[in-house]
Amino acid sequence: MIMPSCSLLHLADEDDDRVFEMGDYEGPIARWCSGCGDHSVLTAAQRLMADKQLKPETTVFVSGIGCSSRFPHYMNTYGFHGIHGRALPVATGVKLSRPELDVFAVMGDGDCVSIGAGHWIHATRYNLDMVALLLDNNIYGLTKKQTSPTTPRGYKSNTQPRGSYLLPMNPLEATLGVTNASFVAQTAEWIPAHLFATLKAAYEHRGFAFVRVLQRCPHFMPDLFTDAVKTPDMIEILDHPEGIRAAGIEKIYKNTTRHDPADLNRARELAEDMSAIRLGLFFRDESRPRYEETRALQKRTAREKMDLLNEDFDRYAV
Amino acid sequence: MPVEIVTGNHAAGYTLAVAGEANRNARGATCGIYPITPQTEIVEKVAAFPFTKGRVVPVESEHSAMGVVIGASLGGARAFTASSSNGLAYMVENIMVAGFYRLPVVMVAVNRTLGPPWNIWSDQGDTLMLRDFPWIQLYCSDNQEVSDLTLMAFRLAEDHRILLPVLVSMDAFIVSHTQQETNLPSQELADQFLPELDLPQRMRHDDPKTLGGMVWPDTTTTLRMEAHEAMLRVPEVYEECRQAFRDVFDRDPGAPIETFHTDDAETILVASATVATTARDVVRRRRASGEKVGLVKMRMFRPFPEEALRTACASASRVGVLDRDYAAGLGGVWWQDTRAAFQGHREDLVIQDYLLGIGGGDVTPETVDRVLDDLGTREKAGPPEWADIRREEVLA
Repeated sequence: MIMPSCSLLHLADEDDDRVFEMGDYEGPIARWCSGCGDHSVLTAAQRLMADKQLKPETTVFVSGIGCSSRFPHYMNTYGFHGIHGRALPVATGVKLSRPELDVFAVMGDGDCVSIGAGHWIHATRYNLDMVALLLDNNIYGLTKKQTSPTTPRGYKSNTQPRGSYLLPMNPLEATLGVTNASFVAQTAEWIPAHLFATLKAAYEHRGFAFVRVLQRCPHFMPDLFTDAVKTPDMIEILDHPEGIRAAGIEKIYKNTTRHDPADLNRARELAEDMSAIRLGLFFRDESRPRYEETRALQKRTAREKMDLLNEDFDRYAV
Repeated sequence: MPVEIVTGNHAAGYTLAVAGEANRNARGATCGIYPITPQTEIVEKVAAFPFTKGRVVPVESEHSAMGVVIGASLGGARAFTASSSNGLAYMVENIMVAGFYRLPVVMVAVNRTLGPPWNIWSDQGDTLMLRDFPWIQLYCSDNQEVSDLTLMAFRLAEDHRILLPVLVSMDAFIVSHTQQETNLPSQELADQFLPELDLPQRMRHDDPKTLGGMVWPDTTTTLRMEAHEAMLRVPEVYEECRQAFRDVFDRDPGAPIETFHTDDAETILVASATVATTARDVVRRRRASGEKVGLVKMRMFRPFPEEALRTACASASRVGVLDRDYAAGLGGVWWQDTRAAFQGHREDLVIQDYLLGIGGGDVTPETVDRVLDDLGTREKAGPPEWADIRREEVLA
């Protein structure tokens, strides 16, 4: 018996004239709770794939453990439901051995910010060409309401029944502080147009694209974004011609700030300041060295290879 | 304290907490916690407990949970944690550290199948994976045993003749999430039963030193040998703790192995945890119809109670070991140790392995009946039998 996996449609073929629609990327019916933000991200990912006409057999979704990590089960692509916190090292291995594949790592706040935080920092520094999604609902949902590193201070959970006593981690601030960060964005699952535009920008970025998706958990963190959903002015959209622009949301989300995503210092200031919920592209720099380029094997002719070999042999000649 | 109806997880969580509270006159309690199904309720119960002096640290991983426990024990706290399955696997590095530092910490584990593929049901492969580490390992069949052995674990671990960590295990869901009438220890009786914590390795202002430095092979060998000798003292100290427990609580927490109709049995099953409970029912029924069958319920896995097992099986010609675990390339873990226990003592004994309930499969009386039917006809042992897999169905 082999491990359960998605059935794949076709093998890659140069004469491939298939046209994919969103439904072609759908796996089994998603079994997340109704109202869970994961549904939105799943739909946005399928829309992105249809938009870019990505082939199911050349797309890989890697996850860890948590509600969000069921993501690959529901995609009709390659998928790997891995170990808690370890989506990024697995995704790194896949991308390095098969650079032609499109790789997405899907993590929750437990996976990325808690148990796998070390990998998050180093994957950012490696800057491999992949998309990393942090589906952040500020709580451990799969194990049913325990404090996560992004849980707001004072929130009562089953592991901190008297209220969370630590300041929550700020994943944007942390990522922007890592050497070689090249793409950092934030979006929200309840604004589908912005979510899609952000995933699209992340996919188009050459390098490690880190996207934090603000998410509601209707069961274990029900009120966190209620006000923000009802009051669009609480959301501040980062706007710039070089940033992320979602068509059609400007009538609702009028609170905007002009921010040049090339400005790292300003990006850090905006990420650190918690007076508003900011969505958009905080930082992008495609000139940052990517691991696959840094470690790429130099192409050499047979003559050059032979010369190098002889040079090495000469070192040991007696 | 009146009998309460609680789950196995809550019995464990409550008992860990009262054991921690019992150290309130010293450095208190420290518990590092990280949730994992099906153990999460244990750490939640601990987190909700109103400790007089103690810290529950909601760390970012199981590895850190055991790290906090190690540091707290060195600092003089009564330290404990709980975990399960892949959480234990991630914790392994620090589990070993706690063992070889000889820190008397306690961990409750809920036996869950190691992934992949992901599976949350019961299987002992997670804790049996720790078999080569210097940890005492105890296995429970019901909630009362969970509570009693958790309390026993602290006294046993902290005895200066032992100074080894103790692992107390229970089956996922079958025990962890099942409510049973349980006589939980009151704080007063827990205070009476547990001695004041005296940790020789703890940090002291009059004796600053560094632990865990680089050594030569002879030092490592000596430390391993000392841990082994402490393991050898466990049966004797366990009996003392058991007697003290009886004196305080007026009930028996149980011996390292429990025998059922073994005195004149020709065929004996060796089982642990809830599989032993099912097997006991089958043995009882078959005894009533005149069959000379018996059961050994293994409560202790480390140190392996070899001598007690040999004595219990003295009359038997056939022993069937029921393993809810699988060691790749060999077979059941309990079977391997059972064979080793008889090696050089009973070459005539048929010791057959039955792998059942793997990945949380239901172990029914019918399964145990099939095992006994098969075992009764055997003249010699064969390779491990996959008792849940009917080969004719697989081949069809």
